[in-house]
Amino acid sequence: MKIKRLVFRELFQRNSQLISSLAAVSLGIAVMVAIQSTTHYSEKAVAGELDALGANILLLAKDATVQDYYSADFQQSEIPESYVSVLTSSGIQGLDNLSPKYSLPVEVGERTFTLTGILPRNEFKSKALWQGALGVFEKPQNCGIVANIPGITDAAKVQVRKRVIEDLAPDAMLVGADVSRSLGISEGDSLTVLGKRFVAEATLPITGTVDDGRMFAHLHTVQKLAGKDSVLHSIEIVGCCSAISTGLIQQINKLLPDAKVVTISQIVTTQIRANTVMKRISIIMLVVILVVGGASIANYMFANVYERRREIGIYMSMGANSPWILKLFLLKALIIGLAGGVFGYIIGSALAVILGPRIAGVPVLPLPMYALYSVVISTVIAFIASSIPAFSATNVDPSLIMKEE
Amino acid sequence: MLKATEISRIFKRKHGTVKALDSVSLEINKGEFVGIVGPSGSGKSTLLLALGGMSHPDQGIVHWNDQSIYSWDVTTRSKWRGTSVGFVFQSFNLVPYLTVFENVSVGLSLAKNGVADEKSIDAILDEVDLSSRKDHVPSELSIGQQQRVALARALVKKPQLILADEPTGNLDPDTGNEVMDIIKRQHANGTTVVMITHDPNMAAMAQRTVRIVEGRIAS
Repeated sequence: MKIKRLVFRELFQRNSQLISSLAAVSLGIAVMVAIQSTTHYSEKAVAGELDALGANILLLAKDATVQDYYSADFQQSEIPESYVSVLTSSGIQGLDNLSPKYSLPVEVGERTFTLTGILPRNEFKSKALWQGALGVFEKPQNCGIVANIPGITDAAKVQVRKRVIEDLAPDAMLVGADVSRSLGISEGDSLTVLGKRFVAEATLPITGTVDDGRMFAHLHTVQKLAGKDSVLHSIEIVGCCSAISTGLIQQINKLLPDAKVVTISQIVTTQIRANTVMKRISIIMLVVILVVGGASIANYMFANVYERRREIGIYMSMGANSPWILKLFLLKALIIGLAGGVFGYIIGSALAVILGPRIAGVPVLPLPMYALYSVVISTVIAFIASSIPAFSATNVDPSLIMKEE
Repeated sequence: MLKATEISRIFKRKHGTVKALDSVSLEINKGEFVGIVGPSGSGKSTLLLALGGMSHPDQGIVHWNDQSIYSWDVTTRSKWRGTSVGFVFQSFNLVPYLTVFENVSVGLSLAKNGVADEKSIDAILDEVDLSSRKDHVPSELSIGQQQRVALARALVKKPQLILADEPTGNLDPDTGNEVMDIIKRQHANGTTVVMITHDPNMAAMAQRTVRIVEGRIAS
């Protein structure tokens, strides 16, 4: 008779103990899976929201200030355009998007606005707030990726993509909401700036940022109007929030020592805080599971060893050695761990799918990867909790078998 | 074949120590049938466990074919017990959730590194007249049948030595005789038997009787 069969036969002899032990570890895993699944989708939703905030790092000339950046008053504070290629070829992880800019004050209709030169594709990637009006552009990868939230169908994405503006011609411009309102400009209208005639490719939606008071043309067009070549006023960077917290800024500083690197602290802080809170909750839950699930299994196994002392003695009298006895109990722990992991994953995923939308306000789907985590964690807990009882089983006094029951 | 030399076994208890065996020496020859008698608490079971390699004496040596079994490592001793020794107990000690067939199968697979030959199991069940009950669990058997299962479990691996602790102690005389018939058949086939008993009739079936009193051999 194989030991596996023996373990299975014994497993169902003490159903109530088995069920309570299995329930403890399953529910522990279930809570973790439910929280993790909800957190996963919640984080994605938060990431999507945070994307709307745009760039979180600014690269300026050493003598420029953030005030200069917002007022587009850079005077002679310029940085080489080659910084863009230096950054992109540096291999630094966490640089999701770079938006180089050159800004000029311009007078149109007796009012002063800012004409900002942009590289359209880069700019569109970092401006989530523009996307509703201009279409969805390719998004940054990894942590900056758009959340794949159930409910937003692929069909909807395709529909939006049809409105993509991919580039700006030399005579095309995007007009901020305030500029559009002040000058009465609509899509397709033309206007003359610094002696050059532009066509308004699109009017931008109200963003509540400095963009509302700006006009945007191709970077190289604006540089040419300014009589400048290959210089910038700023590079807006969408940095991956986890990379920022692990030294992205320092790496950029090291790479470009002649530039000033400024983080938009509120955005970064919000991003990091959102992730940190979620991670802390998960760690707390993991500790709770380890303690409650482990204690329950340990208690069950101790009781099991105690009840089976005579049986262990019999096996010893028939030639069972310590490794065989250990295997007998650890195999049982393995089965409880595997079953606890599977049940916990199923229950946890069901809880997340049902309660996630109500509690966190995000739709949640089961995450298959968590099945693996659940089984591994549950099995490790079961093994650790069972190890001491299993070792104690190998020290059972065999003289028990001689005593009358 | 089996020789105990000056073995002592001392147990520590709350109110002092108990000397269960006190310099016991005993030699059992191959194929011999030895009965061990004595009052309760005299050390008979402790002696049986020591002879079977399950209770390390505090003093003295137990030899099996001139080899000291307690000088072997635990794995070697377990293996020897699995292949060469068959234990039979007064309270049968069957595994309650296993069928008759499975109870016997565990004994064989432990002796044969996990391999249990079904033919051997069927043969021994046939010998103890339990073939028709092989799918029953112990609670569905009579007391006598349970002891026959315990015997089958000990005998299926064809041990050289049977160590029996009052195998008929819980049985009525007729059933006890049935069990003793099986043990005698094994002895007749060359198996060495050491049997503890309180029953003078059963003791009379042994070729030699050793009496133990207060941990010492009295006669």
